[in-house]
Amino acid sequence: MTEASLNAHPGEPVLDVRGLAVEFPYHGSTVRPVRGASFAVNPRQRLGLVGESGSGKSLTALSLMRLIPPPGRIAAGQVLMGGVDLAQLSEREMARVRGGRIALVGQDPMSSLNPVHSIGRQIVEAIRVHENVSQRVARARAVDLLGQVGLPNPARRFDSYPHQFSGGMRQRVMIAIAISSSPEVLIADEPTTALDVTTQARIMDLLSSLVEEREMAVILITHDLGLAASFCDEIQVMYAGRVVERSRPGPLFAQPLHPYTEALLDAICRLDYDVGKPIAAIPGQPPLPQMLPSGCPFHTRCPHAFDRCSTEEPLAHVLRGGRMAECHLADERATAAA
Amino acid sequence: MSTDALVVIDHLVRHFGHNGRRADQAVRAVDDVSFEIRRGETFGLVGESGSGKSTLARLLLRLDTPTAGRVLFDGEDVFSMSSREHRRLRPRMQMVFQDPFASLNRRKTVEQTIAFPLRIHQPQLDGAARAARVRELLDLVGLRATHAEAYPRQLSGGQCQRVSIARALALGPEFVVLDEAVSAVDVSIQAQILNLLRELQERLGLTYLFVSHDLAVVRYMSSSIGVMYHGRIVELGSREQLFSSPQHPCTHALLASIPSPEPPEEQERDHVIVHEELMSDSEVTGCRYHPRCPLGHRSRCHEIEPGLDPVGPGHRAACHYPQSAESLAREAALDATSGVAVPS
Repeated sequence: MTEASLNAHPGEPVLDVRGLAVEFPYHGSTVRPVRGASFAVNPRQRLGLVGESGSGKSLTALSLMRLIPPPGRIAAGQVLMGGVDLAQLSEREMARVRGGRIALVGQDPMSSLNPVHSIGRQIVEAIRVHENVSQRVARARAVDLLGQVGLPNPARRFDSYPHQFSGGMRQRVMIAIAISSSPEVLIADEPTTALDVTTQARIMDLLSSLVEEREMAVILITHDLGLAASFCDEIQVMYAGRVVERSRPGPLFAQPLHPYTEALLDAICRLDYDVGKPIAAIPGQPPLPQMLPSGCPFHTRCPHAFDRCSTEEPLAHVLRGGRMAECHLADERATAAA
Repeated sequence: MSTDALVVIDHLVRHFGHNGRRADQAVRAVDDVSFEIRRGETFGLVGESGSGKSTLARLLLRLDTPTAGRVLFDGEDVFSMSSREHRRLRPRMQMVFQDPFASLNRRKTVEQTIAFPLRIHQPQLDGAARAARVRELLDLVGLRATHAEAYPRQLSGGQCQRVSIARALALGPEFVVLDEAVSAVDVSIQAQILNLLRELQERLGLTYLFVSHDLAVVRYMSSSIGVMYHGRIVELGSREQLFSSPQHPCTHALLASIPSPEPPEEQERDHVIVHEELMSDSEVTGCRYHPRCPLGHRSRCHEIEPGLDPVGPGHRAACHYPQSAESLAREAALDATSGVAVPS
């Protein structure tokens, strides 16, 4: 089940994910926290993968890097990069792609950096894993990279240790490591969740300028729809292991097609919210993968649910403007919106 | 000092690590902070991490000892009383913490967790009365009676946070400190918890100190708000004042940094007011915010520390040049063109 990719970025997608499923053993049986995610990433695209915890957004990203913690595994689907299915590569071949053609920036810059090595040494190591260059060349490149990510006095800070940096500066170092191999796709998994809003704004500005300069695609994984809207040119909303809606940010916010997206937008405590009213909370909890409801996974919390929703899981409805929603009412809602 | 103040914070100071170091090298986590929390209101405390919000919250409940200053709870000085006297006060003030899993004992059932404060402070209750009170509390926070037997690992983050709230309410407190109480839960759950907290406040007449780094949430919850930066309150006022006419550059920077769900072409983020964090605390002279402030190059800003002075009725800002964001950007641009030296 794949849909045509959007036309916003014509040409060959740099990454094409088809029907990706992730499986974990569970009490003698198995559960699938990711159940058939399909999407394409074009060069220079900024794709947002948005969802609540347990929606499968991080596992989707980890499977692109083949970093699903065992005993979990990719149970179905393809991750195509330049015609090669990453899901089928040997571990040795994958090691060259990982941190090479696809790189990852994680949430917590403190636990991703080694506290007993200088940051310079850690960048040099990353460079020399993927390229056969001398220590001296790698060092010069590392200093240059630190400058590019906006670290003041890069040559002087080269020998500093992670604890001597603030959270924002550490995240800049992580980004320097990630871009050291000039990746085609950078996965940023909640890169600013541990940071203050003022620092977050600066880190997102840095990522923006890197996309422009390096023709790199970015997959931003976040629970923050506002952050995704301000950075991404396309947003995918995940719920219960599926991509349930895909759209450019403008139309997504103006007229969400999936009732889950709509509910999520209404539940955000915004700066202009009427303080006299209760916030429109979504009733209940997101479903656990071992206890998925029948039919549409959202129907138990959905204000628009009808008979069919509890028996039949909706397929992707592809609509005008390259939008997609997995909802039985998608066509109707799109017509009503137009 | 108005009579309707439940909590009065009076020149409160908490420095860390000054033992064995020079006094001026101490970390000034809370530095000469004064304000009041009125009965029945929610006072919002907002600021970046490391600004001293949590240290201040802990001091109010006497979970930490101040270096100087006083906290009055309902007219009584919290720190001058003996620990025995304070034990009498403690049921009246409670706290809900950020991490819903870490703040619950994973070996205790929900019932044991909620009943624990009752066992200590109301030993006269028998088992049946305690169990009845636990049921009542579960119902109050929107959990089912069947949850009483559950362990934290069997609950979701939102449910754990409801248990924490039930535990805080067990002794019928007047004052509850909510320290980043919704920061670790998902958007859809956050809305549920915020609604619950407001409902409970109305029903039980609670007074809240609501600590958060999220301005939108603080605005929604609080009638009065203080913005903290490096141990100081830099701006203080009503919700209306802080969000309609903010005056301190730090408040402007916080407001401008919130990612907006509007499409990018409709956004204007003012980059002028967002500066890097470069200096360590002890190196800063004058106004603590000056290294990040667009007007921080002015001599007055690095020579004299501004006091928290009135900028309107009930509205205060600790800034030599309090003004709106627009006029701040204009002045900064003027300074730059007129060649006022900008030390690097």
